[in-house]
Amino acid sequence: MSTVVAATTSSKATRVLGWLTLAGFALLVALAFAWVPEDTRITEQGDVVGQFDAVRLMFVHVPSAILAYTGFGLTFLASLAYLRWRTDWWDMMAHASAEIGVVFGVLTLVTGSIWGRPTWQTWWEWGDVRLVTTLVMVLVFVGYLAVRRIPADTAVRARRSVVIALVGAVNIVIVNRSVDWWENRTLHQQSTLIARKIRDETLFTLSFSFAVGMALFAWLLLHRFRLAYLESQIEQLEVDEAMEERRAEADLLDDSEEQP
Amino acid sequence: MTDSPTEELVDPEEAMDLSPRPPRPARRGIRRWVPVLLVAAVLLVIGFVLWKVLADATLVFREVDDAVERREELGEDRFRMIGSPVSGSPQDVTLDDGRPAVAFSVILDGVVADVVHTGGVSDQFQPEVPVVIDGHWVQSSAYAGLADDGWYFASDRMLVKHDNDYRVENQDRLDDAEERGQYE
Repeated sequence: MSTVVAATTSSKATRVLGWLTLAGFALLVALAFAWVPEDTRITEQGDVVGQFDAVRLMFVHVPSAILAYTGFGLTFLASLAYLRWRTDWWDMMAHASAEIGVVFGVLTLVTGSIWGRPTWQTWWEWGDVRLVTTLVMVLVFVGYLAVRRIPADTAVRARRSVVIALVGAVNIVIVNRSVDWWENRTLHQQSTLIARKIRDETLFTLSFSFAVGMALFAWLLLHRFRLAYLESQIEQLEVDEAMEERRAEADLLDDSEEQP
Repeated sequence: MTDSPTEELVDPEEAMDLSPRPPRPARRGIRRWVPVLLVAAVLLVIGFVLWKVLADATLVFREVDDAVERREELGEDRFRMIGSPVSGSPQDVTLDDGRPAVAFSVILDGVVADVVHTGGVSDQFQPEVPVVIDGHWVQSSAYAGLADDGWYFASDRMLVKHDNDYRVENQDRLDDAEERGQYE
């Protein structure tokens, strides 16, 4: 029996979420450019220091990094769940969140590089543990997505993917803790939020950027998951159709045999 | 009973071909290998990245106090040193070979070192904002800065390590500085 599936990834809820995300993003841009002051401080000697306008990139870079962690972390959890329950639902969830994690991971690297040029005086620094471990994290999950493209039985593909997701998840912790573990091997600053060294307007806008980012993540995840589900349904329909054809052929053969 | 009843009962033109089908030919060409090649490429890139990181021991920053303490031991080895520029603009100096350079002093935990830098100076070069400078020790009195100990650190690359402090203190002094046009 064929399952009837609506051929869309959209729903009323996702449309509302999409518009809310868009409105939130517009407000975030306004807050980041019109409300948050540039980063400046004055030293005891009267020198004005700071990142000045470059600090505004924080509102894209930091949420992107958090969302990359979220995507890869969700892939890890969904992979564990697949090992426990062995259902396609968890495999599709792992796949969808890995794709979104890679998107935000690349965005993290790009915005970090753009921020690094005026702030650190370099686009990229080989040997910087935070930068390199982040690159490796993204590459591992690019590899995860590549492995999923290798033609294989769905269960085999899912098992291979689980192995990579579990190995890749170890690096998420390393990336996050690298600025503390190898302080003398990275230009990257330590966490501002944990140290609570941030002015109120910046903290509010940064928190708001997390909320907008999470809404965007949820919107992307819903669509990507539904797309994966539709793809699996199409595959199933093709299998069902092929089986129907073969049954029809077999029935025809049986009818022929019954005739004297 | 014949071996093939359908041949007798069904018009051969309309009969379905129920003979075993040959297996579908495997996907030929480069398309089949794309995912495998992609995985291999990713592994190669990861290997390259790890090799780059692990092979270069000079990437560890030495703090000024550590670098000064181990100066004899380090000799002319190239390494990275981290310290905060002491307040005041870097001075323009000319090296013995005629090359222009800038000189300044860095400090960390109360230990000062003089630096002669021949590379570009970061726009973010600011007092109290740590810089990572790439170079080696030179025993010479050609430049005597705040440390004035017969040594200077000859660097040709400067990076800025910004801290994680985004608070504002002394807002009134900052406003005064802005009014004076100290920054825009």
